[in-house]
Amino acid sequence: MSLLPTESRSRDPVSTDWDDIQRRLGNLPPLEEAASALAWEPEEASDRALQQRLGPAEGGAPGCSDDASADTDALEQWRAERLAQLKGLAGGFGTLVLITREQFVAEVNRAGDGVGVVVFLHKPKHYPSAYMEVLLERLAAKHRAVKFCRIGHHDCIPDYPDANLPTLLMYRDDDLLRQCVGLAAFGGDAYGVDDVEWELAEAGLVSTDLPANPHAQRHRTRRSMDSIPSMAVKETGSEVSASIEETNRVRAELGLKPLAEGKGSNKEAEAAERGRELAAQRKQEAEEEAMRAKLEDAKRKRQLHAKVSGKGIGEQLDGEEMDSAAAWPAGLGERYDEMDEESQLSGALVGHSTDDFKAGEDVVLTLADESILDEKEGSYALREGDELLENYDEPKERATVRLDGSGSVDEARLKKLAAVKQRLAAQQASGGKKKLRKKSRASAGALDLDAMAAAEAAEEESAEVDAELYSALARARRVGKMTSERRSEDHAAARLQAQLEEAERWAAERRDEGGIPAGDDAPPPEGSIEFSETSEFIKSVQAKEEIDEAAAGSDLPSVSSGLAAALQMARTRNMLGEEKEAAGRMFDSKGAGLHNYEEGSEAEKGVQLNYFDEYGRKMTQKEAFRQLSWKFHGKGPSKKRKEKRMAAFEAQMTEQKDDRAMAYMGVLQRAQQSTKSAHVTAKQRKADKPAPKKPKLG
Amino acid sequence: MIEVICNDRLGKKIRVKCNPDDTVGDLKKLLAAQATRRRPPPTRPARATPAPQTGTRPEKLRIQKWYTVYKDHISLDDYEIHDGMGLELYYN
Repeated sequence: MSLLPTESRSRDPVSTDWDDIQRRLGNLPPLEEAASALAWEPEEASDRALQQRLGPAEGGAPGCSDDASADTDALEQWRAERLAQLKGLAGGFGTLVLITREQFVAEVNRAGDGVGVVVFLHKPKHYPSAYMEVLLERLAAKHRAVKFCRIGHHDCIPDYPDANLPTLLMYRDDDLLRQCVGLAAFGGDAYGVDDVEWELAEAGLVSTDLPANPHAQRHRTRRSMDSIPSMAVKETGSEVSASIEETNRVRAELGLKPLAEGKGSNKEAEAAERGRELAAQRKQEAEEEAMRAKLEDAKRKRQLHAKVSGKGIGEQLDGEEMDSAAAWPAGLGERYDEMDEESQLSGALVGHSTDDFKAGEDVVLTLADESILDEKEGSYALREGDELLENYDEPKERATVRLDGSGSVDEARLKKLAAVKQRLAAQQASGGKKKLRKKSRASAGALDLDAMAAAEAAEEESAEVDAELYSALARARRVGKMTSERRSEDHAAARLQAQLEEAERWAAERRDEGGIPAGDDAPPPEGSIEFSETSEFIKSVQAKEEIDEAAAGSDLPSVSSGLAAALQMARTRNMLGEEKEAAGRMFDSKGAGLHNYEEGSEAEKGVQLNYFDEYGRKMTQKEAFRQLSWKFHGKGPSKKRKEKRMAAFEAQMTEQKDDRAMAYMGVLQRAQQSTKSAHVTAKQRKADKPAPKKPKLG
Repeated sequence: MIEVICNDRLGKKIRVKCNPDDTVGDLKKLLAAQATRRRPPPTRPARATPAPQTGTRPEKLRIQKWYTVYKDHISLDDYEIHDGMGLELYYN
């Protein structure tokens, strides 16, 4: 049989005479004599009924009865054969049947109960369709219980796209079980009968021996799409949206958290909150600090007040505990005794020397350990009335005495020490060095009382020398620096004091002895000089007056010290030379006085470059450059130019020599002399000849 | 929960509900899910339909705002994408 669609032949195998002849000759293969094998031919209707009863049981596998009779077996066998024949004769099953649109409903939807129908949409002259057709024919022959039909694709569905071919629709009992659209459903281009069989098995129309889907791995795109969960969306206009529940379901599928309440996180609000918290915290801390500082202040004040307890003088006066303020020092001693002297005053520095007060006095001492005033070094703020320069003065030295461990001073010891030091200094100045060295070493080092006694003895010997020394010192003091309070000279005063005391003692003795009334009028003893505060003060004032008189003479403010004073002195004695005023920008031209410019010197004029040509004439800048260029390039001017220049030079020379102007002047002068008139008429050529007098015409 | 509108300028406007702390990658997944159209299987008569689903894969989507391309690992909150904001949807 040829492959051409021979539907009629498959149904009714009719043979022609020609074919018979050929068969007889052996040219054509003999007909299958299936129909003629059996004697009887059952009716169509009963055949159909039988077929239906047998139903989907494929291949018509006969239910084997257990009756082991040979006859029944043979009968059964025969029956099975017959059934198979029927199936082949019945048609519609076992082969691919062409149907039309009109027949569709009858054939497919009403194919019979439990009958599986496979509808194949094909297209003529379409390779994939033809390929599918072949496969289906094979499958139809294999699965005879399933009805395989084919229909033109346009016939079934108008305007069916070719891309969807081949398409298989599987029905059973008027239900579309499955549809396989396109090559992709079968696993792409290279699909086979197994794929199609698998699809049929998937639908449940056939049973297959295939273990797995042959085209499972070919469906890659399908799987990625499957990873995207399907979502029920509403399309309102052009917008696609989904409900919250649907979204949450899909989110769960995707592994995301469900939708949360609220719009957006409050990051800004949180940050602001944190900022506020921090600010509050800082404020609280500041408050605590302030509290602590206050408490400490109060504590300190309390402590201070505890020290300064008791009533002040004013309060005491008010409270009438004291009669007058003068009574206050009297009670000091008691109060002082109350305090723990030793602990407080040991090692303290007292701002006096021990000679400032006499024995038996009660004096208030000034401690000079620390400065009372809050003087900062290098303070530039001018206080009212103060001069800034005071800050730069040398610190005023005060005679200080250090208290020893018990807070007291051994005056005698100190005095001796001081006297010895002064003595040594004076003697060194005067020049007895060798003598003193031993003494100085001995006395300074050891400070033995014996050594000091010896020194004292030596002191008394040269009392006269001391007197001279003293007078010289007094003179110097008068003339010189009265403002500074140099107490170092008071060491001499200390000696004087000692002498004064001696004198007083002597006077007292005399009084005691002689009973002479002690009075101030008593003349001082011979050889002694009386000093008192008043006399000294007067003398100092007089000295000051002298200085003032001297200074009042000059207009300039009297300067007593420093560079200004030196300059003043120099100026008055004409020691300074002419002073040029450095005004304005004198420095610029004179170079800040680094050079000495003589008048008319080259240094003053500056550098001058003068170029002279071969004739000795001074050249202008242009000419000089021209000459330089000639030398540089090695080319000079041309011959003509040279001649021109020569001519020019000669003309210049003749011009210089041949001073026409002066010649004219000479002629003029001569003409003037001859004509005795200042003017010269132009017509007159010969000046020396007087012009002929022309007769006047009426 | 905020709602973001992704406009494709080719006729697709998708409103997606999401959390502000979702990343842009999650948003793309939701977009893909919402944008995919699946047709139900056809009933008789056999009007066999064409390919059942037209969708986009999340990897293919690109979300932009003018010339700023939003990266997948950064949350919407960090990008300051608020409720009702419109984003541009492009395909790689």
